Amino acid sequence: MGRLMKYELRSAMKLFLPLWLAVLVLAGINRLTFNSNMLDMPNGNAAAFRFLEWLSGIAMFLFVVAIMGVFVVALIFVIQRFYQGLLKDEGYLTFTLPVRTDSILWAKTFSAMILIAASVVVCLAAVLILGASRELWKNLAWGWQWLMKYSGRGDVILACILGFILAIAAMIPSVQYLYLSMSIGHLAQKHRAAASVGAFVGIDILLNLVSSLALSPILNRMMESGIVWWDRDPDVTAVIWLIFGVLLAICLIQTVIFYFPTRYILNRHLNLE
Amino acid sequence: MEDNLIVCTDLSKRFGVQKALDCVNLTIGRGRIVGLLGPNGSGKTTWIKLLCGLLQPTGGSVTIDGEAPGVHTKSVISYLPDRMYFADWMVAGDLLDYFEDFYKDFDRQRAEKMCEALGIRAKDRIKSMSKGTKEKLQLVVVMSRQAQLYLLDEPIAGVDPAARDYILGTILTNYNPQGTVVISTHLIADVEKILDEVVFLKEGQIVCHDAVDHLREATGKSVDALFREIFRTAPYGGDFTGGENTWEG
Repeated sequence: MGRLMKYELRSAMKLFLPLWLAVLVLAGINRLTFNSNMLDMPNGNAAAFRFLEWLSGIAMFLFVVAIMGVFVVALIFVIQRFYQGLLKDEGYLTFTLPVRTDSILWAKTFSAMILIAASVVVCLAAVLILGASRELWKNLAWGWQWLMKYSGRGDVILACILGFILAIAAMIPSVQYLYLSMSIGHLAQKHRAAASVGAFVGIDILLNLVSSLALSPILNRMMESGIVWWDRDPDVTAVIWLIFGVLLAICLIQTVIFYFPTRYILNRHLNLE
Repeated sequence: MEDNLIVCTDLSKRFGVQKALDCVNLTIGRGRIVGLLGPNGSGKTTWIKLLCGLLQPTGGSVTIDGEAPGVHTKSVISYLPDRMYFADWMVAGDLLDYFEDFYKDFDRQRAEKMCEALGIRAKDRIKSMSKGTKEKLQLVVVMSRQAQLYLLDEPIAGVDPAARDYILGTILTNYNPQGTVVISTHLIADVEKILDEVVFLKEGQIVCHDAVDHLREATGKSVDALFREIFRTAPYGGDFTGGENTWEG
């Protein structure tokens, strides 16, 4: 799987390194235009002031577009690498490699996760470059201290760690939902891209239906008993673990629902054009 | 090591109601150059895809080197499909790295020398190459493997005679002599001289499987002539030899 991921990430880096660099450079430019004290311009130089104001506006617009663009491109890239890499001509190479279909699917999934996570990190870094100031750090420190004060120190750290793990785990079914939709679309004789979109919508409707019919009553009941429990001054750590456990179980169930049918279709019903 | 490299038993493949392969029984040994011959739609590509594990049979079975298609068989098969399978983002060097990483039998030096002879540099983007260069590069990586079985699907279709010579020359000078080469084509005259065996496929069934020398001796005809005889379809208005133009009279 490592070898497959190596090439997945190599292909991603060729596209994303320049994109990430552009976001960071735009953040730097915006910071410079923010910091230049335009109001101190000589009174007689109104045209230069307007020009700088316009430049600053353009730079900010480009920055926002670049941030959104990174995530839109990441989403398209994840879809395109699966569709082109497995279900179009590239599939003739990928599926004749001496590796198991599981390795191919997990290599695609983990690479997509790394790409999305790295994009989040780059965008956070860009926001920090843009807005980092003593004031910001002071406010963040105050917020952290407030959290520490009103809840146990250990609980906040635990919640942060478990939240981080959940965010990572939630990416797996999200990515594999796309893979299953494309695999179902591949079963169609014609208009496979349209069939994939149809499968995506169909799965969403089905899952919403199942969750509203079966899961919602269970979750509501849990919430109600949780509130009663909360009134009795419960153990916060236990509550954090309970929420984490429930959400992780949902991720796991979704992964099973999305992964095994995809694997079955690619193993038994692959039919490259 | 199994004596028979490929064993097909009642191998069938349907697409819906359409039979692409119908109860194919076939055994092919090692160290042979085999022509898989038949017109378009006769089931050649389907048979090759079944061997590669790109399709699953609807009936019967196939083994390569004693095993059903899977990780082991994929490691001993070198497959040249009838289309380009490169990723857009790759440069030639990436493709060589890729083959080196996944196939233990890949001879990097041999591939580099063949690329050099073609004027392909490691930094050249595959996307920007001409169709002919891409086809040659694909052949280079496929033939740089010391594989047990080479499955070459229409390697000389749609190329000019000079390129045809290059392709056949590359196959003959680079294949593993202990392995078997299967060449699927309908351009018999070009490959006849290099074949040890032929398999004629017609509408998903084998109509002839024999050694080329024996076939010539038994029928007194070349493989090309025999192919034309088996797959001959009379055009509308009768045969062109002595026939009249249907617009006349």
